[in-house]
Amino acid sequence: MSAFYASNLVLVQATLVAILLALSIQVPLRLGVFSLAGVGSYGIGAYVSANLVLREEMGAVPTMLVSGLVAAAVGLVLGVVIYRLAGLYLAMATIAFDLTVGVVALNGGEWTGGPVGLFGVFADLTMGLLFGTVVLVLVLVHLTEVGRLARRITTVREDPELAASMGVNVRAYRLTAFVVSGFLGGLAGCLNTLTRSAVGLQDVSFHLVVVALTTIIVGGALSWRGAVIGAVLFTWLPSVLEVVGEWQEFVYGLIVVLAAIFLPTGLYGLWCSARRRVVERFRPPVRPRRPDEPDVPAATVAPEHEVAAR
Amino acid sequence: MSSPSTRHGTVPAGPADPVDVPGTGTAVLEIRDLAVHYGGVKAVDGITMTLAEGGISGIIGPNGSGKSTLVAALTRLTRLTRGELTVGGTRYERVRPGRVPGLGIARTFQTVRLLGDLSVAANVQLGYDARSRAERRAPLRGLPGPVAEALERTGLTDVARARPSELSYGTQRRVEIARAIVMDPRLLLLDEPTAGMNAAERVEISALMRQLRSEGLSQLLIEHDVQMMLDTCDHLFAMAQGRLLTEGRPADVVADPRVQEAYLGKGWKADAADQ
Repeated sequence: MSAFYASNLVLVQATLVAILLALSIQVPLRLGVFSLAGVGSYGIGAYVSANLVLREEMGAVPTMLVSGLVAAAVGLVLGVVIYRLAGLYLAMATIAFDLTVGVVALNGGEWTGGPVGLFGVFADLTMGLLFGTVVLVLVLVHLTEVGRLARRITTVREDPELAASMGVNVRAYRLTAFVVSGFLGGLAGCLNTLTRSAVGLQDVSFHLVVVALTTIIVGGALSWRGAVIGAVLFTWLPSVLEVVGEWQEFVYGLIVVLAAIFLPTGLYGLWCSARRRVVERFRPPVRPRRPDEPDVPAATVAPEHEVAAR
Repeated sequence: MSSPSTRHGTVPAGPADPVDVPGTGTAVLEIRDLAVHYGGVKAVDGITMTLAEGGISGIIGPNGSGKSTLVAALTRLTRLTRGELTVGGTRYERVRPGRVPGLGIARTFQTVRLLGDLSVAANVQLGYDARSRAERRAPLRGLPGPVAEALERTGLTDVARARPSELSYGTQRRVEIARAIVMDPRLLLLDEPTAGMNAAERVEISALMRQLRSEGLSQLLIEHDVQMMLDTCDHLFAMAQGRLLTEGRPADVVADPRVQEAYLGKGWKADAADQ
């Protein structure tokens, strides 16, 4: 196990970073905000963290916090500017933001290293800190997937007008989506820089948009579990596909296409659907009480009553 | 009957007869010169109404007369061109939609708007979620008491774990009503609550509304079933082309020649109108 871990340390680190990057796209999606700005935030976090370590000799933890907060602040400004956009128009605007970050990185002079990038970014990041950070983020995201907050998030996504009628400040929820996406993207970019000790234009490229989106489409868009499944799959898949040689890219693309066609809710959605079918098979048939029937005592409803199919 | 207590204070018990005693005499909602224009279309144009506290008020009118736009305006889901809205003494024409439930106004929609991924109980719980933190009590297991009670009152306890797609249209509408009731509002806006229901279900909903009135809940009902409006409402408004045609006792309103010409058809009669 330890030999496997040591020989695949880079992949393990890349998986943890990919989880955060996928969450930066998934969290706004769960609120009905089709924003891909998390990738631009990833670039901001990557370059901000490199400068903090190289110029200020800042430690890993404050670097992570500052990088995330800077990207979150940019995300808030972006959200205020493009709040009224929706759907594909919003996606296009956020892709433009991602590309803008790339242009700034290319022409940023000594702050970004231009086409060469920045190297030698060494900070006191340990695997324990990296792993703990990702687990903490997953726990916090999980808390938004249960109970009252989960119901309100679902309502904002599915029917904003209904959400407003249920007392939800839809604007605040959507702006929060931009902020959280920015923080998670910035944190992912920072951790990527600190684990690789370098940052370059590949960290702000359009390719990352494709990777992040396919990660949550194939894994599952409505739960952190989908982000984890997708991140593990697409981080490790290229090394698994080495056996097919030059057909690697083809097989990779084929898997994405097949998943998009046959798994519209992702692998995690597939699991949820199967579980729901089993539960419903063993549940008594649904029959509401007729008006002329006598009142029935209130039944005790198990906590699973609010589980949503994802 | 004792006077029930709600989060809006103790209210006097409502009338036993829906026609003779229209509410308590005080106003729960006041609408002054309300207008909603979409470009050149005057969906609502200068409506002034007062809804009595503890009573059931109804609005009738042909399609396109502005009834649903009026409800959207009352819940701030559409921008007002002009006008004043006052609920429980508080002006609210400038508040954002998300604050309207906090003022004690709950609503159902003209078309069923339930979340398909959530169970019936969770859909109803959305209404309970709208209550302030001080008013919510989430048990460790099972449903909060008011949610279970709302499910029971609307006959949905047996289907609490089902999904909306498994239910008939009429039952789905009952889920919407339960979701609104559990918000513990001072004013309930019901936009065609019995659309799609059979006769027995309509009778049940009408009885539920009268029961809620007896507990002091003010209601504004929009319906096309004029007989049900006559049987249920204390006070009736008739609208046409965004304006208020007339208002008054339900039997008087439906007998008004202007209402018959604009909506009911000349010579329309109902059992209750003859009484």
